Amino acid sequence: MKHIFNLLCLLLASPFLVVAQNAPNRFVIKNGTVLTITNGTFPKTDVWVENGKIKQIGQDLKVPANITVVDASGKYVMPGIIDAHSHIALEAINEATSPITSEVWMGDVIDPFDIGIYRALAGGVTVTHAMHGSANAIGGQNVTLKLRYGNTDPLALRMQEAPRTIKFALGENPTRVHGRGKNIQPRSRMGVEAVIRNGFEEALQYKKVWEAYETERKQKNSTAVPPVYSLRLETIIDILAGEIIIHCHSYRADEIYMLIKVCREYGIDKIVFSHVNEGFKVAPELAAYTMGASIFSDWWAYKFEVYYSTAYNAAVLTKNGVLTSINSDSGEVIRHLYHEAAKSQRYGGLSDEEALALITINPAKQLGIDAFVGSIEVGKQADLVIFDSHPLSIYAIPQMTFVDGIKYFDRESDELDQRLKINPSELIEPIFLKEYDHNCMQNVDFYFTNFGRNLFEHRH
Amino acid sequence: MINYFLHFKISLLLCFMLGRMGFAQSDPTGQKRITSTYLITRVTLIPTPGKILPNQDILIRNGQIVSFGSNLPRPAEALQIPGDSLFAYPGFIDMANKSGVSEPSIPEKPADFDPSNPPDVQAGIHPDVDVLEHYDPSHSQIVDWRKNGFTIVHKVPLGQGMLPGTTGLVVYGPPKSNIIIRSDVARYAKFSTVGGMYPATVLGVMAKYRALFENARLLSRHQVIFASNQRVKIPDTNPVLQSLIPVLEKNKPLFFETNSELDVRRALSIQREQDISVMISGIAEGTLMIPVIKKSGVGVALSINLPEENKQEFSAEIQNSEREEKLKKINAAYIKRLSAAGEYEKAGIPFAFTTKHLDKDKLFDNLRLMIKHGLSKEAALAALTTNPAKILGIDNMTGDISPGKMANILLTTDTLFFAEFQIQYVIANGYLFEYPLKDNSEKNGKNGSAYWEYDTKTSAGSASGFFEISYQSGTAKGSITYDDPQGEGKITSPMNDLKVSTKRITFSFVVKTAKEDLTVAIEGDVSENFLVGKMYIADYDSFPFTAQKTDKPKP
Repeated sequence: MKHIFNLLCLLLASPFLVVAQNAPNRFVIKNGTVLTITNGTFPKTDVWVENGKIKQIGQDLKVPANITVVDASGKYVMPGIIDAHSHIALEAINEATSPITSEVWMGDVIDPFDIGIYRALAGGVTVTHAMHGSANAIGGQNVTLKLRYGNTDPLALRMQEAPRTIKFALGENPTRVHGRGKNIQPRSRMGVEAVIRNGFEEALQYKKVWEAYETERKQKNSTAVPPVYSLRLETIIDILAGEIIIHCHSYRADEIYMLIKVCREYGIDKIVFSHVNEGFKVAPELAAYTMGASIFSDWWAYKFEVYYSTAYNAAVLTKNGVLTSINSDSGEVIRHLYHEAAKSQRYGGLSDEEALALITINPAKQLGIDAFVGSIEVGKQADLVIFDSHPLSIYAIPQMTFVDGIKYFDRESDELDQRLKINPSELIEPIFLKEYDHNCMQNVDFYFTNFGRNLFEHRH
Repeated sequence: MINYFLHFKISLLLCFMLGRMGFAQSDPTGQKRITSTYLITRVTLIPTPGKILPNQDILIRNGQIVSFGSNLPRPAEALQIPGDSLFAYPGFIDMANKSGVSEPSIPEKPADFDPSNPPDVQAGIHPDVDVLEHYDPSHSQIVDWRKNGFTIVHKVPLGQGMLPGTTGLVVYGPPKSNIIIRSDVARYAKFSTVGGMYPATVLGVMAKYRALFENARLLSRHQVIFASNQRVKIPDTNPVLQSLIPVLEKNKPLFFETNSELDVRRALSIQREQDISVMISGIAEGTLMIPVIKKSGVGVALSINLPEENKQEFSAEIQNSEREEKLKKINAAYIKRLSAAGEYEKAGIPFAFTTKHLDKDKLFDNLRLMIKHGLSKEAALAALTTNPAKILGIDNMTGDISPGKMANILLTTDTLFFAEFQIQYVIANGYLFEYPLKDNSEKNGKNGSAYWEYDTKTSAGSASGFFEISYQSGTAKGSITYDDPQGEGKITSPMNDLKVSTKRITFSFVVKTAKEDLTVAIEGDVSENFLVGKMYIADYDSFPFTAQKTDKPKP
């Protein structure tokens, strides 16, 4: 039953890694203040990188004579920032046509040419969670990216070690798109729950049908005929089996608590809530039953369900033992996630380590990649950022960003134009602010415009 | 005896004379040709790219090339075409073209239509539709493409969705002759969607491909079990899945239309995941995919359509240094596009060409641009002849000039791609088409204006108005008048991308509405004082558009 995904995995493991940058993959960052996140902060310390991994951390490391040295005296070295909720580097975001689209996969639409990748690198980000949009109750499968900008093969950006994740969405978005937009379920928060439950139930029935078929097929002289295949339900089966981490777009406490209960009922514990503006109201439940919350520092009131919010959310959640991260969900905010983390000190007084964990090791845990990234530890992948001052200072500016020990951003050699793809005909490239509106144009909507009415109905 | 011969000779002579005028004695319609045997004499022959043979005769009979050589015997029934100052090339093969193809009719949406789960046919998934059943060989554009040298064409179906139908091979012979070379060559596959229903984006399209192929596999398994066992339920009748089974069995390839490098990657992903054969068409973005395509070994067609050269200027506010750097980059990107075909040649990829999206008046200009930027003339010719023949599996039938091959031949006044060369004859499937030679010295246009009154019609009603095209020292400009969409009265908009030839007019204009600016494109074929064409609105749909030349309207 899983052969499609096995096939996919095979496909993805094939030799794609064409490294675009020729920076040395063997170097030592010397004399920086090293913020390990997990093991404390060490002044005047070296980080030795070899073959994309951290080989040693310590003062006055004995390194080979010919090794490249990056002088970090007076500077700060921290793990690459991880954004647990992002939509950069994607050609499409929402397959907004069905309330459940668990069959779609963001890996199919990775856009390695997106200049947003470079901008994120300039903000110290090394890993993004490239997510499906929030139009559907059960959205598409996401893909975790390493920002290896310059690689033109989309799958070369995929973090191979990352487990599968999927987008869920509650509240106004799915009810607006499907209920109000197309007059199908879900039209209310109750409908969202029903859609998710129905999806789970349908998947369980589907699983039974297939299991029965497989059993029958093994009998001697079997004439069993195969049932219909559904990539959508196959995916939900994998969610129920705990093979996929849910990242659920949510705002209100009631709906968060609803999904916690539904997940518990179906034995799902791999769930992270995203946005979670009212998370502070259900902090103990989030701490007990989930992989935590990935939130905005102080972004709210852009629609009705996001009014009851507080900048103390990160601190309240953290103090209640909720695994908490701060995400961008934006190609702009992603450039200064370290500022966003710092706000948790102004509002709630988190320690340096707690605040930095919000954008490093905590999102790494929520994406299931904390064994590889998210802190400066020997053996971990060398995703590193060098800041000119402490990253939680309002004056901090990232100087260099490394992914797998390869330098993808250096403020010293930052060019005016870092695009990988240039339109051969136009000075100003067109920007489509809303892909959805753009697609809408191609539909019947035209006939409802004044022009359409006049042109075609005026005379007859 | 003598009398008989004399009579024969005279009638032959008569036939020759009349034949050149398109008449024959025994045919009251004047359409029937007098002979299907032709002898091209003393021509400079390029039988296949890179080979050149001077002073050759080519004998053609019943649509086949019988032989070539110097001083061939001259059969009495042969119509002789003196080729003394001419060059003979194999007829061109187009890897993907839609001229003359119409969209299949899609049934009305059912009353309980659910956009999240539409019937396949509504969602643009109808791979079982035969393109040749929707192909009109007498379409006016085909005359133009043939005149450009194309004789064999891989016709792709029209449709907005991901699997619009099968492809088919036709020859550009006379519309009433036998024109079908092969039907059901491949399944046409795209990443575009109908919109407003599932799948709406490439995300859904990729998932849908996977689901369709897996279910086609299961259906096939069911059919096998059903065929050889008792007590097995009847398999579903599903024309969509049924038409994908031969693809899974590698008996039919998917012919992918792509619009970007990322589309090419996706097409190759599907090929690997499903273990099927694919061909990839429409490659236009540059050289990045060369190693990937080379490794995959799939047949590819590059687009002859090239981007426009940038002619805009930056405003003075932008710093000089930045302005220069940006212009340099844009220009470099442009040159890179022009040199892409040459790079494919260097990489040893035997690519073909497609005319999809190409303005037919730009064919040779664009090919010359590619040649100027590194493509060899031999490779350009190969991409139009031998390579597509091989990719399409018809190289035993056509693609070069040799005995036994289809008589698809161009006779040109100079070497192909030379600036002043003209195509004087096209022979397609043994049928002769002659084109009057243009006097190149007389290219300067006249001044003055032409006025047209147009009508357009949609299912919702009709509209009419005027447009004007004026010539100023050879340059055409125009404007079109229509009812103000936002109120009473008339509005006049300038025409963009105006192209006027004696046979065709195309232009677009922008209509400002309260909500957005809509681009409306018009294209039409002109004969005498009439224009028959189509109006395309915002890339979405097309409507009939006709116009008639008129006096200057009163203001």
